[in-house]
Amino acid sequence: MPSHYKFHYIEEEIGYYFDTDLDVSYKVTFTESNTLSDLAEEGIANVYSVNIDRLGSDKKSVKDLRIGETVSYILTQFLSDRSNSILFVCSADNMQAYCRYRKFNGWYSNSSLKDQYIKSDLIAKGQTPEETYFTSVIYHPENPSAEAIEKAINTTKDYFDKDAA
Amino acid sequence: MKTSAVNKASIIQALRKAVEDKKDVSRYVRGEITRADLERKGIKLAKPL
Repeated sequence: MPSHYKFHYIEEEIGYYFDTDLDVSYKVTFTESNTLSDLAEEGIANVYSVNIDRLGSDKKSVKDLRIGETVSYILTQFLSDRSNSILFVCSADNMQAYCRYRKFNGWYSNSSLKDQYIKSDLIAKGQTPEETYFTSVIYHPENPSAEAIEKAINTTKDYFDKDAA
Repeated sequence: MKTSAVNKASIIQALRKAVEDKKDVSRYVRGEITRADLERKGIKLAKPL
């Protein structure tokens, strides 16, 4: 397994930065999220949405396993507080949502996250094919809100599975 | 009896909002908007650890 890149946290900007061997910079940012609470109709505390942004580079993307390893390492650090859970929603623009979802799933599957944390996925289709939301929630089995998170995802899935049946 | 306010439309709306917030955070990261702009939209950056 490749080692992660060295990363640093910038207090003023509230985010993690790292640079790849090809001088491409990334920033990982967390924001408070009410999305699961909205789905569950009950308050679910300590849910954070994660942004993984590539900064100011027009270089072509190349496969670099260390990027995923670094993101996974940062997520693991964040989830070391077991009351935290992470929400990853793929943007539905430019039809790239599924690609981003697959990439995130690959990072998760190839990391130690999968050995310690639960990942629940939800695919929700809007009125147009372009409006499809690929969502993952990662949380520890002993998260105090684990049951509520699971219920929120499963109840939401039911709405969309009915149509798929 | 409790009536659920959650339905497909509200789920899509919640996810749409999550994606919009995420785009705003990306704009902030690129320096296109300020942290105050984010906060005005109710988006709060979280201190990781």
